Amino acid sequence: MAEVKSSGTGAEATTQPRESAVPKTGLQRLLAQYGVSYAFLLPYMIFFFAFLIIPVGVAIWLSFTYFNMLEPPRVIGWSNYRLLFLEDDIFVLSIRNTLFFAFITGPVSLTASFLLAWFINQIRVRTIYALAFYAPSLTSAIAMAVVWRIVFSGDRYGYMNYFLMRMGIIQEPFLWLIDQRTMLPVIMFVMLWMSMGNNFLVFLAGLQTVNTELYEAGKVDGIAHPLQEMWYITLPSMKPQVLFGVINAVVLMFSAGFEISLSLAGLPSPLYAAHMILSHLYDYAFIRFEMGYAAAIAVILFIITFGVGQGALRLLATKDE
Amino acid sequence: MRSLKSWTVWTNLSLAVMLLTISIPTAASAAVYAQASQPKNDAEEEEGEKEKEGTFITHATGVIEVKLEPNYAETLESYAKQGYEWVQDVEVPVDIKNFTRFRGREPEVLSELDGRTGDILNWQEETEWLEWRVTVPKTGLYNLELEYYPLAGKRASIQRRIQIDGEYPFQEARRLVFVRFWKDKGLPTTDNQGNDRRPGQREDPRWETVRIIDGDGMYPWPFDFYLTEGEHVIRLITVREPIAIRSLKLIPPARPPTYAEVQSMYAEKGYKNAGETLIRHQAELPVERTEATIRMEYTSGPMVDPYSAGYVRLNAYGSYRWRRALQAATWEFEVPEDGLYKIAWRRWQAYASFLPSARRILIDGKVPFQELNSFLFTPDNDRDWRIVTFGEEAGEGEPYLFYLTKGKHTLTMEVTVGPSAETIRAINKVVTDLSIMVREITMITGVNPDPYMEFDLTSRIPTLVPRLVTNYELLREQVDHMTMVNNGVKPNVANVLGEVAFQLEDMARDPESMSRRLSDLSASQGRLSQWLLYLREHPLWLDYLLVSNPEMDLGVGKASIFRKAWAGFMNFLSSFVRNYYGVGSIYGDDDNTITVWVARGREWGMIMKDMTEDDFTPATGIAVNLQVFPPAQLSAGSVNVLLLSVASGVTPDVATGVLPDVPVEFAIRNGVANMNKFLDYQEVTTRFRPGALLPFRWEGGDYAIPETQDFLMMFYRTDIFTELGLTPPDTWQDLYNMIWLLQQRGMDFFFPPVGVSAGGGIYGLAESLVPGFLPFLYQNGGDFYTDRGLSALDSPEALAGFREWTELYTNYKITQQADFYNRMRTGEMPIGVSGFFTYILLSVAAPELEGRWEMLPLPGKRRPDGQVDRTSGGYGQAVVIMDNSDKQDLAWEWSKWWTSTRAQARFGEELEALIGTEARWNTANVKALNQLPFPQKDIEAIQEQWRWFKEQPVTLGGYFTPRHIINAWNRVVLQGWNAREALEEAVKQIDRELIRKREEFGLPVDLTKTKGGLE
Repeated sequence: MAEVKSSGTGAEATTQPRESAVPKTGLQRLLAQYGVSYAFLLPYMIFFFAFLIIPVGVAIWLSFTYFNMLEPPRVIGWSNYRLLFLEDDIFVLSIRNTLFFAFITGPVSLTASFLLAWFINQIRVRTIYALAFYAPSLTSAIAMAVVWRIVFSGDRYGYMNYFLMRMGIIQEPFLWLIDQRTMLPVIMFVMLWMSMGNNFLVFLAGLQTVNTELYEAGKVDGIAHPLQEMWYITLPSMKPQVLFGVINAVVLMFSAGFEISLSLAGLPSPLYAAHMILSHLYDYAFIRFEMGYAAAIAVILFIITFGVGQGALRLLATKDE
Repeated sequence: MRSLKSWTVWTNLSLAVMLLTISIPTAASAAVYAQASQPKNDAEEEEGEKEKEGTFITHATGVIEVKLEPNYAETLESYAKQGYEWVQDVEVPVDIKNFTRFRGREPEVLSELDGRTGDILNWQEETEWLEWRVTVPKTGLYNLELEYYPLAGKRASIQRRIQIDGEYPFQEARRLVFVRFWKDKGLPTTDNQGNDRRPGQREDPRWETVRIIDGDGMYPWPFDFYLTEGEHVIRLITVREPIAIRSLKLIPPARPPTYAEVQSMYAEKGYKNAGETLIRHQAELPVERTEATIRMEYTSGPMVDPYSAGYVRLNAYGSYRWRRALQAATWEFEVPEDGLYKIAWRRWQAYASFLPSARRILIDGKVPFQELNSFLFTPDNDRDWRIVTFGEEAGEGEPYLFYLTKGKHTLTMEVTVGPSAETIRAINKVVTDLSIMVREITMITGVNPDPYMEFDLTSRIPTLVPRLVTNYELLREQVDHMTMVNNGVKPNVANVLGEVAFQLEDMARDPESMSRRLSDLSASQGRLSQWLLYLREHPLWLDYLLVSNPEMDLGVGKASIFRKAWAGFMNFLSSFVRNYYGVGSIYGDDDNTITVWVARGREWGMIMKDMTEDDFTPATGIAVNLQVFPPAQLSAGSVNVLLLSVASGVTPDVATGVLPDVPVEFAIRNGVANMNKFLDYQEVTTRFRPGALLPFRWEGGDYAIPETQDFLMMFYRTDIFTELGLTPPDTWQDLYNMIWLLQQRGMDFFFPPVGVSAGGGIYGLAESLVPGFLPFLYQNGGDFYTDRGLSALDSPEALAGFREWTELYTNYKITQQADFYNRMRTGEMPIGVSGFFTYILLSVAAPELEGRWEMLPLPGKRRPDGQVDRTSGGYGQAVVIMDNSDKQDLAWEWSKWWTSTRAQARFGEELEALIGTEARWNTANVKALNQLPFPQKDIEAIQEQWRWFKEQPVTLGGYFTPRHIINAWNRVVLQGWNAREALEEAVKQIDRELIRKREEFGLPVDLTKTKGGLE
């Protein structure tokens, strides 16, 4: 440690004599004081810039250009955004689908995974259940699509069709993944199944960190029912996990829905019934080769995700403090 | 002028007269031949004598079963029952030259062929069959011995059928197989990356004498034919490939001695054990093989000799390729002195099915004793290599001793089915019976039985329960049999048989439940059929052969765990430095080297590379670096390497295996080069169907040449059609008339669905085409685009086509989605339209359907001139040259060479030879297709379909066309819209995108629509 420090001061020493005449600016003082800390930060900062800040910056710049991937981009101003909001009906549809999808699957998935974690936390052999619930999140969307495609196949021998026909509920096979009415619900269902595990694991871990003394104290203060216990003690003490879960869910709902939609309903889905914002982006980027426009969609998606995330954060933060 | 005209008339007339006079003598002479008991050509005989495909048995329930002759096992049983016996000491040679009748081309008689003289029949494929008369002196059972020579053909094994007195004596007589002989062209060479390159294959024909035996290896011994005293007619029928025959003889059956007899013979003659010797021979160097597909292989095992050390070394032999009956290989070794030896192999046998692999072992061309007629290599639990001595396989017992004289000997190992054959026959029986049962039940209940209804199945089908009982008992017997064969270990197949038996038993207990469990029954049928395939497969790896004196300890030949771990680690390390993209030798980048990207498997790339090095580079001096990518990587509509390479400026010179929407999409953005700037472009295009070039054409440029070509064809089950008395439809109208007939019987017609579907092939491209719509559009005279680049789908013709297409689903209510291949197997969909992928599946993976399905051109529309318009499309893959390549001329040279008839035919042949039928190559080159080893009938069907080949053009913004056609279909079929409204809505959307895109690229937009694209 001492060595590192000395090398840090050594570096300062070489630069100081030259600039000693000039009064130190704020930045230089900062460097002098925290140079070592920044040096430690550097590796992360490089990656952060290379893989996050720069790409986001480039995407924002690209959204003001016309770029077809094979030829160099050409700046065209606000035109992409104008088109996007004023003329693109499908984009509006995709926003509607995405929000519908996110605002239903997000909260449902969160609540369900919390309840599940809560239940399972009371059981003795937790690990097996934890593994069972987490497994779907481990598999890739494409891999599990193979399974769900068979379940919801439009074939008479698709599991769902076969089952329902056998029960006498439907008379002829239903095209679950082609019919406008069922496409989005099916995708939401699959999403729920897949996303449950992630939050479940976080909540399960969170439940185990809750201070058990609080429960005893609660009992003394007159908490009679386990549900009361959950509401007044468990949930408040799990705030960090809940926050994480919410952010996680928001991001997931806006991005992962597309993967499932792509592998189950295709791109674009028939009659755009399962068209997500990301599907729209993909459509423009790789089918129509309009990268500038796609970048504009990405920027909007970024803003929405960021906004919803912030909103959720604020909502939860103000509740207690 | 006038004189000229009359001159042509005269020539025409005289030509006609000449033709007439030529044909008269032939007809006359044929008559003369017949009288003078000369061979008679049956060409004029009425077609009524068509191959009889079995007889029909009508069950009491009304279900008709197509029954072939009894199989050979049943025939043998009846021989035993009748007390027929082998003849002794009688040989009846057939007078091969004096065949009495034939059909098709008359075969020539040669006097000498490859060192043998005498009367030799040169029997080409054009001769449909040949007949001989023989007088049999004595009633009894005979074997048939044939001396043949495999004449050059399409490199596939030779097949014939045999009839005696106008009938097949048993089912297996329909498939006699005569093998060809293959050799490596030399030892493996090394490429500049240090990896072995497999030597080429060459056919090395020779004379061979065989006793006629089952072509599927299902029976251990040659066929016994029962012949009574007197005159008989033997007819051999061509299936495929030419053959030369020198002699055909009826001979008395015989068997080799048992090992006990051989042992006592050794003792009698006083044979002594050989002195201390150990001969080791590498398995990868056989002297002869019966198929080019079985070949030297590479494995990285740490003890495999020679060790691979991180490189590709061809150090073993066999593998999964060496699994089908009659695939044999012969090795040659030399022993130093006369005496008794033992023989061992280092081998690996632990395939997933965990069944023993059977081999017939021949020493110097003869089975030395009965035990070796089907020797079993049982699987290892520890999945490792092991040295196995003949006679000791079970881990105990004395090794077999072989008496070998000083000098060279050969050892041949041939795949047979061995004891699994009995199980296969039993499963076959059960599967057939189950399929009849399913049909019987569906006739009563319909395909979609009401679950709440009692059908009273037992009284309507009285035999139902007893048959279920027979079937499950049969399966239980086989569970025991397979376990016994496998040294007491229950193989996977036994579990499956047990499960199905349990299911049948359960059904027998509650037969009424069968109406609700029909699909379970079909599923079991499918599972059993799958195991039929596995049971026929007998793969085996070999490392080296050991011949030694009997006392020597050969060891076990297993690697220790440490050695394995070390070898694995070294391989892992070497993986960091090796180039896995490049195939074969890799050259530096200079003016004379081009880079080719191949979006196919490594095997494909390897053959391409070898062919390039053999053929292209020596002729042109252009060196080629070949790199492989995962299949379907080079397509538009996804993030793919080609797109990224163009964006980053690091492109190859040529890309192959490119999906058909890429060339134009890239061309619009200056990514790929225009090919018609090359002078001989027009000449090159004559290799393909003109319609196949359509997707690559844009604004006067041609941006790719086709490599493969898919197609829509009609597949149907011949047996079910005969049963129903139907003929396959020629036009759509024929089909419409038939659909209700099928549906009445709970069956259906299959048509390619819309939307996402699993299974690759033609459907992998749901985004870029709507396979079902195209034939209806074109056949109704419609087109996709106007000549001004707008949608032409608003024409009355297009509407008619769209109506017809959607009416299939709305009026005729055909199934919207189904797994056609499986439904075809179960018979639920005895007819359907599908692509190349289905063709391969049916040819390769449905052995139980062999000979019971056919592929025909698509139904069409009868045009006023009487022709049936079958226009349809089918995307294939293409070759493009990248625009920023600075070696486009060289790239064009290579592309030209690669799509040439010679290269394509050779590639298709080698691919099928090396990988098998499953890798059948659907070349776009019309002439090359004719030379590929497909069955002739299939090629003819494909060629007829290709006459009508026309693909959908790709245009700027064209991706909206399929997208909105699918949407329109959705609206009409699922939401009940009017077809016209749905299509108009689609056209509105399509046009909007087309105009938007044209404006983006500054192309003229002309909103006046003209009719059709081809004015």
